[in-house]
Amino acid sequence: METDDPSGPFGNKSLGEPPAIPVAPAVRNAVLHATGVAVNSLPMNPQKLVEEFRKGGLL
Amino acid sequence: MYDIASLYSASCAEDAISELARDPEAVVIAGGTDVLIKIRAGELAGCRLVSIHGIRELEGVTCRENGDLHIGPLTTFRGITQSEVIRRCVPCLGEAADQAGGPQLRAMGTIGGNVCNGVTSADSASTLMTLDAIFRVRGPDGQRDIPISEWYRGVGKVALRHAELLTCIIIPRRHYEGFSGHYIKYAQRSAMDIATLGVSCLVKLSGDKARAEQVRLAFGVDGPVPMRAPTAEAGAAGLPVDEAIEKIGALALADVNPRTSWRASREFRMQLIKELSGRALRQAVINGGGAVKC
Repeated sequence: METDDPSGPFGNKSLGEPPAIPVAPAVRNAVLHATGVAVNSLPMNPQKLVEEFRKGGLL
Repeated sequence: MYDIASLYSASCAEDAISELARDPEAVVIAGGTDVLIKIRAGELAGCRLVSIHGIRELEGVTCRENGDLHIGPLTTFRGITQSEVIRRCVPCLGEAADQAGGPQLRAMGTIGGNVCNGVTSADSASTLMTLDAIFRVRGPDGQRDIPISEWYRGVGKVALRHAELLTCIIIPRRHYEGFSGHYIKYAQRSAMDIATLGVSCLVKLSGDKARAEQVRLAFGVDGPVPMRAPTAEAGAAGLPVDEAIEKIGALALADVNPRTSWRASREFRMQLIKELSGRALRQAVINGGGAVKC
């Protein structure tokens, strides 16, 4: 909290977004790695995955 | 909040029937887990209720001398699940009843209400379909037995006439003896949710437990009423268990015609039917003491 971040305005550093942002891409990339199907929109719920897997020829 | 014009507490089944016969608009209430919700939502606002709650002759599960099971319609979901007779003879029905709603609902909601309400998503319905249950109803003109295949008439409609009361759900011995089963409820959440798809499978294994001699498969929510899958049943019968498990899902697709609703798309339901049919059969085989490869 006390450190000065020269890349931010007035030396501040964001704490809310950085930990939240990469989670969805990480899950999406894990799905891509496991199946070869790239999903590019949320939510990645079961129904969406079934539809995407069909498009990708997995089902 | 609850707009109820009058409540008549019936003392016995006969009393309820005669009160219903007197009032063609009266609505039967048992556990109230469906009726009270409709009243609060305004659908049944200003209704006159005939309560059958607490009528002893309509409660409990017994195994008759001939092996037939008689389930009192006022038996709660919890009563079904905890019944010694159910656990011994048709454990899969007890497990299916245990998936309805949450603990409070299962302590109040009754199996009779679950089937008289006529909804396709009822958690006990698909298993009762595979068991070919018989519904004994009594009205002012006497008693009649309705097989479950003739029970469901459409969304929220069953073969029950006004002033008729479901008095017993009968599962004949030959319908359950030698069978093992499994019910899978697929929903967004694992509790307090309505099934996106319910799949119930019963299997009778051969003596050496290598083959699926007879298979019965039923779905809830894949149509307006719970339904059996005759093509899948016929196609899987007689096959070695692993082959039956592999094939039954694709076979079942010929029996169903699900629609797209806000809950799930047709495509998604087809995938669930294909996948979960095999899984239900697999677990049914395991419950019957059979060995599966995958």
